This record gives sequence, structure tokens and C-alpha cells, in this order.
Amino acid sequence: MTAFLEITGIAKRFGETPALVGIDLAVEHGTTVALLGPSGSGKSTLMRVIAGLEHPDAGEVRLEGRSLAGIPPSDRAFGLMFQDLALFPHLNVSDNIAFGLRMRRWSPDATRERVVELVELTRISHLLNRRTDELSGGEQQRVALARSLAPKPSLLMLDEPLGSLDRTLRDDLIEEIQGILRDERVTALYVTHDQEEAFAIADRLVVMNGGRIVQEGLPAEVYFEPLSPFVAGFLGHRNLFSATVLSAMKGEMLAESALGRFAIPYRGGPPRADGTLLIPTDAVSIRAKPTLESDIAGTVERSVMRTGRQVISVRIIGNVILTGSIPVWERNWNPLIGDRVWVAIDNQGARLLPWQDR
Amino acid sequence: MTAAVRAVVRSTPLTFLAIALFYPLWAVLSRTLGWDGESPLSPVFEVLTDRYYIGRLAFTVAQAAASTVLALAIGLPVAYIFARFNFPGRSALLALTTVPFMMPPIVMALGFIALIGPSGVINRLMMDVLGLSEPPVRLLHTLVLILIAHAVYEFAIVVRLVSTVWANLDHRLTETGQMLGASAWRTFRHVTLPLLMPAVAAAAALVFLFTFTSFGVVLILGAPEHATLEVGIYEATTKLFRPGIGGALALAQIVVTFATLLTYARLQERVTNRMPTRPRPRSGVGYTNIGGRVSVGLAVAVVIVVVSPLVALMVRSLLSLDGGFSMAGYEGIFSNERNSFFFVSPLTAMRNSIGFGVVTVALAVPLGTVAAFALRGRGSWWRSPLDALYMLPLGVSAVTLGLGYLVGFKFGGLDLRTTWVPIVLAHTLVAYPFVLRVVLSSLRAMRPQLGEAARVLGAGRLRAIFALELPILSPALLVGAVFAFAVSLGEFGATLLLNRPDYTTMPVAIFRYLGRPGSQNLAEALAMSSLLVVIAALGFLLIERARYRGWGEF
Repeated sequence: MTAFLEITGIAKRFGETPALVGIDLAVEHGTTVALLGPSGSGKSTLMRVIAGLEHPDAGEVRLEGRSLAGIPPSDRAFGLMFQDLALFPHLNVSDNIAFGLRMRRWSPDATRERVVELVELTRISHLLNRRTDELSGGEQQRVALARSLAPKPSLLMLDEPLGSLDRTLRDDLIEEIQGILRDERVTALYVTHDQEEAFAIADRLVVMNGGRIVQEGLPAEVYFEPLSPFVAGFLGHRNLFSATVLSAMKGEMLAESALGRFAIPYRGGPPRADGTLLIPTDAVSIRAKPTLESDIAGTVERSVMRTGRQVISVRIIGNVILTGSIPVWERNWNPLIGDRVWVAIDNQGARLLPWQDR
Repeated sequence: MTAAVRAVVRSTPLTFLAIALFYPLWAVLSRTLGWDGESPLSPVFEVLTDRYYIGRLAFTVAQAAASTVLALAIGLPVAYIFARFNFPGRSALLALTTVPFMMPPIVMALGFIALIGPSGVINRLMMDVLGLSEPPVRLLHTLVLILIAHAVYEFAIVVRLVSTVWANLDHRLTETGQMLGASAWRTFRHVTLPLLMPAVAAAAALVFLFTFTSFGVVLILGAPEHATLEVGIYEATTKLFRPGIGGALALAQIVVTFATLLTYARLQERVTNRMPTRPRPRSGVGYTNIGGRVSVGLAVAVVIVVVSPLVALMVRSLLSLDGGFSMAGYEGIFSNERNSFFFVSPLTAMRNSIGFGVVTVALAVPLGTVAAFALRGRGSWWRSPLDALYMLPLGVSAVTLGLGYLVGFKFGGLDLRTTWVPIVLAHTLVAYPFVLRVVLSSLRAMRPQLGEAARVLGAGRLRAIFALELPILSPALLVGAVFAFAVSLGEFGATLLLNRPDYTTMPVAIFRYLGRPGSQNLAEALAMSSLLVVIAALGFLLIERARYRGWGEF
């Protein structure tokens, strides 16, 4: 069975610089796929190729089995929302939203109805007759979203749509967009460099780097089993150590690394002989006093407050740095840089990844 | 800076306008409209009821409108090509387009005569090739030639003003249009065109203004039935001895030009307000496909046609009458052997032109800059009228102005009429609006955060101007200076009226050579015109080398 949107072997260079190198990707109908990667990784170019705004040097984009080659962007019936929104400055809010409907020659009555439906959906009914430059950032975002959804696109592409907004607004809007995408049952491609945004919205996650897809899968799968140091680093993993497997039995293996010997759970067939040990920061807790014999002593190297957690890096024996966290609400204890602390690792969270770091 | 100093600085442009524009206008109008003891209103009434003058007004408006349409018709496609494609020699080509705009009408007229006159390049070629005995192209003294000359003159305004806005249009807007189902044509019709409209209209208003007050082109290349209001003013005052009629016509002209300028100022403000706030210059796409090559070729061809009269003029300056190579004209103007009593040597004319040019730059650059600072904000009701007022010198008849200086600049025993003062004032008056436009465009593009950052870093208001704004504006000031110099170099009408032998400038000298018989005089007129062309071309190449990008407002 063919997927709703199928991309095969897409390549694109700008002058001498390759922007996309052999991209293959399938998107199922009704799902939201997030394209995640640093700037310059090719994700926006890929989106522009799908939209028809760029011609690929090689490869093919197919929609429901039919090739889109030679079909101009205006006839693809896709939606696209740019990072800086590109609201038409010469049109007011309702004319911006109605633009695509008028271009597709909807009747005036149907146009009016659809515009009203969308301003209600995006909660901007009170802004219908306003000029777009009088709106706040969040309001402009809603207008752009309403405009791109209005003609009922078969595929909606969002290019860093929340890029310029503050975090609270982003958190609110991302949930709202998720709800709207579900209500409109639209297939969506969501381009972003922010992993939190990607995890929040995606049914499937595609990580890009240097014009290639470097990993693809369910968000949790990608997060806990990054296939390369790049993906691990980009997703914010800090604790990665080369490890050798000493023995394995009953779903548990003993790995040796800079942290010493360490028992890790494993599933499936016989484990590899070596790899990279990944310990999510959530699985590392920092304590003022040792509670278990296995706790590791060290000194606080860095301490940064993040939303909800105090993230602390600890230097332990052999100049190894381990990063973990304590909940911020644990106000009774606030370790300072240089303080002596103990680190406990929950080995249930640890993974052995099938590649060698460094 | 104390409030008093600030007030004095702020009021300089208006003070200058009062001295150099309104006082001479008042002087000439008060003397002409009350002439012979008749009621001041009777010439106005006569002009407004006489079929002849109504006809002149109608003709002036009609030819200006037709010239504007023609300039847009050849300018807009080229503006598009300049905005869309990046090709080698692009900026040099852009520099070339501006050269005709800065030439005195006498030089352009000479160029057209050298190109399509009875013994011009085209007719000679066609006669040789086709074996004709009569010159086939007979455009001299036709309305068609006036319109062509106007279009060639004003071409640069359309290209410069529109191509900058077009190139800076956020391409995501047109892409969004396409994504929403608009075909290429409908995207242009519903997205690009509405966004471009203020710039096109502003260019049209300026072109209309310049062609409405056209004098030299009409006088030299046209026929008597083509007289514009400006020619009418000149004839009424210098030939018919009806200064009252001249004054009334000048008044009518000012009313129309002020209305045009007001429209222009409003549109120009909309250009800046409507543009997406972050200018996102698209570097331009390659021209390697067939469509690109054809387009670029087309633009090159149009520019060649536009500069062809000047090229013909330069070619002709190197030929003797029988068609052989000759440097006689150049040798003539660089040897200082003329001893005529009331005729000035060519070297003196060149020295005068450069001297007036330097003084004009020294006056016009600060004046235009101060005026631009007064207009930089937005939103107040008085800005458009003030803008139009500052630009008014561009729309006032040079003949009227010259007459005003002649009648008004004698204060008791102090007679300034025979000095260089009125010439420099007249040059500065027509030069500073160009500085104003260039600087204002840069000022409007400057992010306000810069000034705030400077103040937070401890710079006072005055320090901020000198440490921050002027350095950032320096490319604009350079461009403004080149414009001011070129305008002064090319100014003809007022200088001619005010002329004293000692202060003869290059355009006036060219005019004088042409009025005298003999091939050596023609050769020297051609040689001197060619020098003017070369100086202007070098100036504008310098601008493009400086990579100045803020052409948005012209």
C-alpha cells in the first residue's frame, strides 16, 4: 500500500552547496510529521520542494500515488505557513483569510461561511476587519493559520510557525494548533528546530542534518534511542559514554564504561559487544548525602535552573561529567558550585546504543 | 544641544525656502500681477478665460500625461528585470540610466540632433545603406520627439524607484499567494501589483511633475504649437512684454505642481509604511535560462536606446564635418585663446561650473539632511504638506525663479543681482530636494533601536547624531552630494536668465557656442557636452561602487 505522501530520492543543490541529498520519506494520511533539525539542515528546502516552490534536481514527490512533477504550487492544493507569516499587508484579516477561497473561486456565500468558521476555530472573530499590522504576534499567527487552513488543503506545511513568539504563548498555541489540526483532519508537516515543539506536536518525528534524514520514528523512540551522536546531542542528551559489554543474562547486561561497571536492562536478542551508554538526565538524581552504596561522589560543576528543574552537572572521579537534575520545588537544598554531592543513577532508564561515541 | 540652537537648525530649510523661493516668487508675482495699474486679478482672469491659454494648460497637462505613460511603459519592464535578475554589469547599467536624467536639456537636444537629425547618425546610416537621397527619419520639431525625449529623461526615475521596491518585496508573499491557489498572473494581479502600486504612482507623480514644467526640451526640440506653460511664461515675459500673463501662468503652474507634490509625498509615505518592516533584499536570481537571457538582453537594449542620444553626441564630438576623426573641439576648449569682449573662455566656464557645483554641494547636503530629519517620523498630519513644500523647488518654473532673482535681489544699495549669490541659491534650491529624498529614505530604513542603543550606551542626542546617525547615513550623504553636484552642473534655465559673462557655466557656454556660426563653435559645444556626460557618468558609477542600496525614495 502506498502512503498518502511519498518522497523518493529528492536531491537539490544551490550552486555548489548541496541542500538535500537523497531524501526518502513517507507520510500517512491524517498524521502530523515534525521535521526537526538545526538551521541549514535542509528541512525548509524539503518543504519548499514538496510545495512546488523549488524544483528538485532529482527524485519525485507523489501524492496518493500520483507524481506532482510539473504541477505548479498553485494547483497542488497544499497549505503553507511561513515563519514570518507573510500576511498580505494590503488586505485586512478577513480578506487575508478569504484570499485562497477567492483564488479557488468559491462562491461569496461559501467564502463568508468558511471565513466565519475559521475565525471561530482560531478565536479571532473580533479581529475580522482589522489591518494585519495592528495585530499582536499571537494574533497574526492565528490569522496565518486560519488563512492556510481555509481552502481545506490536503497537506498543511508549517515552517517554524511559532518561531518568534514567547514561550508561554508557544506552549498555548502548540496545543491549540494540535487540536485544530485534529479537528480539521489535515495531514501536516511541521518544520521546527525546537525539539520541545516537535515532541509536543508530532505523531512521527523526522530528524534532519546536512541535507539528509538522519533518523525517523515515533517521538519516544527517537528520544530514547538516538541513532547517532548528532541526534543524541541535538535532543539534549548529555550523558553519553563509550561502553563494553562484559556479560549478559536474564534481560540484564553488565557494561563497563567511564562510570565503572553498570547493569543495564535489555530486550530482544543477544546484546552487542560494545556501544554507547546513554543515561537520560531524568534518570540521574543528585543528592546531598549518599543513600545507596552505588552512589557516586563528585563536585558540582554547573547548576542551571530550567522550567521545573534545577539541572546540575557533577564532576566525578576520572574527570567524568554527569548531568542530572533535582526538582526546583526541593527548596530545602540548593547545591552551589564546588559543593560535594552524590549522584544516583536509575539504571532502568539507561540504554546501550549501537554506535561508538567519538 | 540647547532648545534655541535646535530651533534654529530646524528652521533653516524653511528660512532658506523663504529667501530663495518665496521672496523671489513674491517679488516677481507682486510686480507682474499689478503691472500697468490693472487689477492683480485681471491677468489671472484673462488666463483662465482665454481659449489660447486654456489650450496651453490643456496641452501641457496632456503632453505630461502622455510622457508619463510612455516613461512607465518603457521603465516598468526594465525595473522588473533589474529587480529580478542578477547579471554582470547590472550596477554599471543602472548608473548609466541616471546620466540622461542629469543632463541639461541643451545637451539632450544636441544628442537627439546628433542621433536623428537630418545629418544625424541614423539618417546617415540609412541613407548610405538604402541609397536614399533624403533623410528618412524626420522627427525634429514633432510632438513624438518631445514625448520620446521626456521618456528618455525620466526613465531613470521609474527604474530606480520601482525596481528597489520590487526587489525588496518579500518573496514569501507571492509564494503564499501561489500556495493559496493563485496562478502566476493572479498572484501578480492580487499581491504584487497592489504592493507595488504606491511606488509606481509615486514615480508617475514625479515624472508628471518634471514633464509638466518642461522647458528646454520643448523649446529646442518642439515647434511653436508645442509650447508648454513654462515656454508660455518665457514668451509672455521676454517676448510679448506681458509680465502679468507670465505671472498668472506661473501661478497656475505652481498650483498644479504643489497638488502633484502633495500626492507624491502621500504616496511615498505609503511606500515606506506599507513595505514589510524587515526589508529582505532578494539577491536576484541567475539569468542562465532562456527567459532570463532574453529579459536581460531586453533591459540592456532599452538602456542602450535611452543613452543612445548621448553616445551619438560623444561620437559626433570626435568627428569633423566631413566625417573624419578630429579632436578640434577638445583642443579648442582646452586652449584659452578666445579674447572676445563679452564671451567667456571655455576653461573659465568649466571652472565656474565646478566652483558652483562645490558650493552647491556644501549648501545642499546640510540643508537636505536637516529637512530629512524633520520629516523622518510618521503619522502627523503636517508631514505630507511639509514634504510637498520642501519639494516645491522641483516644480517651480526656473524662468519665473530667475526673473524673481532679477527683480528682487536688490536691497537698497546692496545689489546682489550681479553677484554669484543668486546663481548659487538657485542651484542649491533645485539640488537639495534630491539630498532630502536620498537621506530620508535611509533615515526611514534605520531601525529605531539603534538610536535607543546609543542613548543607553550614554550618547546624548547630539552625540548620537554625530557618532551614529551621520556615519550610518554617510553613503546616503555621498549619493546626495553626487546628485547635488550633477544637478548644479546641469542647471540651465535659471543660470541662463541670471547669467553674467563672468559666471558662465558649461551648459550656458554650450548654448552660447550654438548661437554662434562656424563649425569650430559646434565642435566645441559637442566637446563640452561630452565632458558633461562623462563627468555625470563617472559620478553615478561612483555611487554604484559605493554599493548604496537605499534608492527606495529617489
